[in-house]
Amino acid sequence: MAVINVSKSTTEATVVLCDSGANILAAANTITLLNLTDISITNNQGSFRYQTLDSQSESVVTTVATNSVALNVVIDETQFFGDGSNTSPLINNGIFGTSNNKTEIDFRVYFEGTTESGNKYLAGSGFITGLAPTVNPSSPLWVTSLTLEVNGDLTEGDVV
Amino acid sequence: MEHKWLRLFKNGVWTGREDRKVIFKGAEHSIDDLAKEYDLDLPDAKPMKKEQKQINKIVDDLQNDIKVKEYEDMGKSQQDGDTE
Repeated sequence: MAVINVSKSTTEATVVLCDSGANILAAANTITLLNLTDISITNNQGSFRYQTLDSQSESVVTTVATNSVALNVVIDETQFFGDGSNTSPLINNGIFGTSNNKTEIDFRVYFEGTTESGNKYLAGSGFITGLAPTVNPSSPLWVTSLTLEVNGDLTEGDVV
Repeated sequence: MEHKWLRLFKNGVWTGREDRKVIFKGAEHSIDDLAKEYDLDLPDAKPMKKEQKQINKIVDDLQNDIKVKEYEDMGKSQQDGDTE
């Protein structure tokens, strides 16, 4: 097997957001996040530990998982504030509006780009939170963190 | 060389595009053409050639049997009864 290298132009890590229930492969309802600086996925299985008198060590069983995607972007104005004139609520309201309205969206995190067949992605549904736009004189571009709080499971898929 | 598009076979069934095309090294290809070019065995490939060889072998064997039976009587006399 091989490492996952995102350094080529056709294999960049990509995050696509989509109106809930819409076709995520259609541009009409999706935002492909621009200017990503980093992505971090959390798939944290809950655990319950217990002790019994007949064992010298704790036993454990897993419980429900907590899933989220954390990323940082250099803000694109249109993506962040929306274009204000689109039939797609996500594109119309932008990232900030979608977060403010607490609107659930679908998403995919492509590990190695969106074009080469067989490359992997993780998908789910959730809510945009954790926005924290920031700027300062020595870093004059607005950047923000963004967290996708996943509602339910993360699922894996293959680029077709 | 890694052929990640083979992952689109699930339990031997093709789950990719209906036209059986994939993007490989940045270009669109038919998976059947890729299989021939890179000498890959597709999970849903039909074993046509092996069956034809088996049929031909069976026919050849039958023909050989017929020839053997035709000549079987050549060394014997036609009458088994005693002469008087």
